[in-house]
Amino acid sequence: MKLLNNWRDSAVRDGSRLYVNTEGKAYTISLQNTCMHCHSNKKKFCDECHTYMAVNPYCWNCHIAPKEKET
Amino acid sequence: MSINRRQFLKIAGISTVLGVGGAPVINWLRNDCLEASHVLTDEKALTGKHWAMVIDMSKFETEEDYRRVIQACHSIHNVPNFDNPKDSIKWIWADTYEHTFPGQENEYIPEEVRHKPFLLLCNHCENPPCVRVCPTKATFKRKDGIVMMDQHRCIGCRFCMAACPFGARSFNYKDPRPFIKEENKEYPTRTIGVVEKCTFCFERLSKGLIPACVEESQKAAKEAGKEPGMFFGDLEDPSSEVRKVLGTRYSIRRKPELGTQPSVFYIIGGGKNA
Repeated sequence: MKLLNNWRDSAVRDGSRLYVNTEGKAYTISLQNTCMHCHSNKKKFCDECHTYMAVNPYCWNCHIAPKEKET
Repeated sequence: MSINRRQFLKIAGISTVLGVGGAPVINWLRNDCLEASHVLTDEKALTGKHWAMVIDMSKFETEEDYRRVIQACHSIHNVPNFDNPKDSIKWIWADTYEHTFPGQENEYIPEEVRHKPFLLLCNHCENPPCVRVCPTKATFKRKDGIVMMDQHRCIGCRFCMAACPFGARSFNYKDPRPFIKEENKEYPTRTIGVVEKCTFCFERLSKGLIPACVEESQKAAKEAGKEPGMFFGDLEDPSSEVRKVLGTRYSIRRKPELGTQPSVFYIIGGGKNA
């Protein structure tokens, strides 16, 4: 969540959309186009912890969730 | 264990040598190996100091010309299509001369201008009233002149809609998802209860592309072998396309008397003397 918040602020507020990690590898900052391409299973990656913590973030009201391949 | 003078000098000497040699080693580690993660702007991104658009209305002749440009924007930004005009969401749309330039109309303007639809979008004002009234700073002005929205912070109070003199902002009275024909999976939709508007395609600029409407209009012009009707560029750069057009052709802006300094310029055209 911390990373997502930081990424959102730098992409939306500052318009900086390239994240370079400690190994020098660059990622485009985008929830739909970067995060969810690898973490493509929303049920496992997002919902599992959110359900456990009983929280309801509204990310997916606007952002389009990836299509679930298998559960 | 006691230590004699000779041993002490040996240890002191070795420590000094290590200390002197240590500084470059630490610097090398810091610069090359232990670099922290950081955020950059893409090298391909278009950067400017004051983005602006020029719309040459004389190049918009058929309904198709308008439709193509509007469609290009609305399809990539997931803009819903509501049947009820009261619910409608507008990023780029068309309206009459009378509504576009109120106070400028008179009985004698050419018929073709009077009945021509004018292409409208957010003016990305230099002095934006919507930014001033936003209580959560969801609407803010970027360094490059774009009046940007952070949908995450919008509380749907609609002060900005009341403040905007150009009607460039739309409120989501309903969940827009069911009214989007085909979702563009690379761009988010909006949700019920937030305000939205044109963002000068900030997401395309960051990839090195010009706004979708301008790109589509230039593509259409190329196909038809005509001059394009829309231009985009940096107002602060004297060699930019918009400055060249503005420097050679007379242009007007919407409601200049309000002092918001719009960044969208209109060339009305209409004959040789215009």
